[in-house]
Amino acid sequence: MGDFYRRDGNRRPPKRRYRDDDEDGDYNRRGDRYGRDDPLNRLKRETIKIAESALVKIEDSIQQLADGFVKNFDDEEFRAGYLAVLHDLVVEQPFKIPFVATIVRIANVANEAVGKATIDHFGAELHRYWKGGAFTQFKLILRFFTCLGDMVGADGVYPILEQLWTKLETYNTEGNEGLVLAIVYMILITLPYAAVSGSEKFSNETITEILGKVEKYADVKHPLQTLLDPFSGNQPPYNEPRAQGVHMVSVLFQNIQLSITEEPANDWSGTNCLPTPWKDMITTGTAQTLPTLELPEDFPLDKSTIFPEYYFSVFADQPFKTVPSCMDLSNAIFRDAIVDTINLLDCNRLTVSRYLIELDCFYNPRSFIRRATPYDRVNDAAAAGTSTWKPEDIAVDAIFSQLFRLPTPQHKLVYYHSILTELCKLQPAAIAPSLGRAIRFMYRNLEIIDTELIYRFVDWFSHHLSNFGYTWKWAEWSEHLNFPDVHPKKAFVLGSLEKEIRLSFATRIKGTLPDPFKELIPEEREKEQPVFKFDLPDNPLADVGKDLLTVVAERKPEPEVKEAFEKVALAAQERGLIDDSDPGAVTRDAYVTVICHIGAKSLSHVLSCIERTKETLLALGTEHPDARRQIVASVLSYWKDQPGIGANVVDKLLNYSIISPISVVEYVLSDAGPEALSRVHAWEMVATTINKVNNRLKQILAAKDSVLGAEGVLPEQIAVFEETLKGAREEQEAILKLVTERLGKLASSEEDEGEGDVESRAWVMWWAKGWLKAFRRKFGVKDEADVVMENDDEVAV
Amino acid sequence: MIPATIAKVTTVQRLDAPSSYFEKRDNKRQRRESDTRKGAEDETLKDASTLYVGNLSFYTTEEQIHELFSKCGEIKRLVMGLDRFSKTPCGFCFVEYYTNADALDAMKYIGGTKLDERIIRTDLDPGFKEGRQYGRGPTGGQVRDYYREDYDPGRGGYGGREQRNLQERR
Repeated sequence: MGDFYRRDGNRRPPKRRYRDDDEDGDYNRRGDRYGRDDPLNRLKRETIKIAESALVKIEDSIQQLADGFVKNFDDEEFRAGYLAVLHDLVVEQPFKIPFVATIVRIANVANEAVGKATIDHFGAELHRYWKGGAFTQFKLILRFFTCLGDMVGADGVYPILEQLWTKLETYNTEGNEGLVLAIVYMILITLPYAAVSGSEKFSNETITEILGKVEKYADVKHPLQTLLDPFSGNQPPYNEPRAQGVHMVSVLFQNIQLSITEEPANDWSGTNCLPTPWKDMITTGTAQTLPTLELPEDFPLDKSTIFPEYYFSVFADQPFKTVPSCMDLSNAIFRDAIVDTINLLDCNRLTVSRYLIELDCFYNPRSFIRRATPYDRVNDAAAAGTSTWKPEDIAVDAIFSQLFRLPTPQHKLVYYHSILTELCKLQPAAIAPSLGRAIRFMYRNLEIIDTELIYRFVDWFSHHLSNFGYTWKWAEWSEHLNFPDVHPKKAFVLGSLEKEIRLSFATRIKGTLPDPFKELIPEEREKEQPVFKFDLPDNPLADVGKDLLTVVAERKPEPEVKEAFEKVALAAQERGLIDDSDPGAVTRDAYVTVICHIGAKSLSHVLSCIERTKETLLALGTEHPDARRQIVASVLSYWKDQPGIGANVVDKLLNYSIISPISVVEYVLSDAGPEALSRVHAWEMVATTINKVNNRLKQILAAKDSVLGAEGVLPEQIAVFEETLKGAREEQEAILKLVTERLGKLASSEEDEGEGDVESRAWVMWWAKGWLKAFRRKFGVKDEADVVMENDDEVAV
Repeated sequence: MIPATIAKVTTVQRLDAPSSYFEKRDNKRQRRESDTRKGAEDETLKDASTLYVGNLSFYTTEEQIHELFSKCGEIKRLVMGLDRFSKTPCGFCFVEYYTNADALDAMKYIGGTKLDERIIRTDLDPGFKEGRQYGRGPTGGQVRDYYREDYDPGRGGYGGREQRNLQERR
């Protein structure tokens, strides 16, 4: 286990030598194991660690590195190697950009050739990133140039920005909203750095001019705007109501506008958090020229996948501001750099966590209150007039912004879980209370959070607790225990317990709960295997059911199975259990129940059992139009106390095409009862199934060019491909239609099933609305509110 | 959104690199057979979509493993490690995904976190072969459980060797 912690190489070099490390250009490992420590390796190592320690004077380390850079510059191997590490650091560790830039500024004073070589190197990379549509990397190199201040000429990065906004008009076509917002964002987030860079060009007038140029794009609405808002409802979750449902481009625009207009004018207090190491050093070197960009007309990426970042905070409703408010420029500055760091360095969550803990090292330390200051002591700082921002809150807030990002974050959700886990392990005293407040914020707002995010919250919360002994102060939620099960707060508690049990086992989880909560876990959950209904004496088909189990379990030859089958049918007939419209229903259910019971021991058991009976199962599925959906129902009914396992089995049956995607969706939305909408497994079944359908269509479309464009492709092959594509499209459309219609009905009072009390029925409608919003988003279908909004725009024009 | 070739991280170490297990095995073989197979295992691991998962409790079930590891992608197959003699779980398993990317993600995001309240270890694996599900230790379990000296209730109490010693002393 130690291995894992050894791999966070920056602090503790690994004891083992990993092969290929050198080829991978892993700079962290000490190159001097065999007595070889050339200047390149030493300087690389020192450069990568820059600003990480508050104990070293930053000016000293910068000076030292710049000296080393200049001294060894003439060595070709060194030059190439060191330029590469500077570049890598800029595009991988955004926190360090101002420091790297200062190294270059100082080196340029001593030798202008150093400065020129650096600019040329970065210029070429800037170009490459832009052409490849790698906007994050482009933005970071642009920021590096910005931090070089007047070293890149009196105009600084102005010419590059000008090129960008001039091009905006060409890009601004329908379907490109995401792209336009991404470019405007890049321009805007560069401005605070420009303002502190010492470049004289970026005066009040210039900034005002730039704002004027991009203003009309900063309010561009994404076509899915309202579907991307993490909250819905009338009660805004934040102290600042303007902060809800806005994207960061618009937030940033307002922040910068305020910085230059608000009194005292042009004080740019929002940039006080930025480090400016160059200010205390002599940086008057020869000015270099920046490259001019060639801007392509198009990018090699699917522009419909670019979504703007929305403002999100779990700490924006507190009386004490432990994070900068939405209206403070610092908020956007921190959020931008932290989110990039997290998303760029997903290959090492341990390093990411360490950087986040040391956040205050990379900024003006006066911007923060001391690390790990308890929340109730923040008040003292507020009274003393110093900063109240908790570095750990700012970091945690940024992670949650990604965990709860719609439609999806850049990496798998579990990555964001893992950073929170590591942070908690590194600094439990600082992080655990922050998480506690974040959890309570989410819990408080369950009634207005997007439905998909409720399920993400459940998933994270249960997984997180599983890493920390399942300890949580459940008692504080006791007052909500008498809510109906479909109430979002109660559903959250039930869902979290369900997920905890799946990662552990019922008895263990029961042991972590206060008494009143123990009752939420039924005794059946603690049983090893579900009850086989034909074992129950009052089951009219008990005997024939048990016989069927025996022949299938003992792998008796086909005729015997058939015989057992017919006996079930006969017995059902005698007892009047057969519905004439679908005479096979009873035997089908018996058979699927038998398969479930044989496979109940483990997933492998059920898989091998399905594998050997798949022909029969496939045949059963085609007996009747509703047969597949009944198979799903039989599985879930067998696993009713452990629906998570049932959902897994259904997923496997789907892979064998024994059931169809639409039958899963039909079962959940029509047969599982309306209150199923509040349950984790129901969401997971529908979401997984729909993702599969959508992915399949995406894969087919992606293969289109290679199939149809292949040399010597036969007409029959084309026909087969077209057929597959058509089938996948129709399947998607059918499911979308089903989902929209069924949920639409449940969301309105049209379908009043008459079950349950008024409150529960109201909550079911609430869930249906939430599901509808979430699945519209998954299918990329505009929300009605957005359609209305657009029509309004047209009227306004 | 970012082409993979562009985003190759070099300033921090990666958590999805395979351990030296196959390298060592390969080196031994090289010495024995004296043929240069350098990089052969490397090739197999390049597209590996299987993980070896270690330090599990003997009581952890397939469902629990599935629940955790499916957070990184759909699982194709799960093979529990069994005691060679008793055919009961002995604290490891193989998790096979459909893609190499999912396996790497599990290395990055799940390896070193807890399952069933134990910190589990993950390693890339060239793929499950029949026979590998059995422990190779003298008492039927994993080798490390034979030599281990501590008391680990999740893994059958004392290690195999200690247990033998205790029996002899009686």
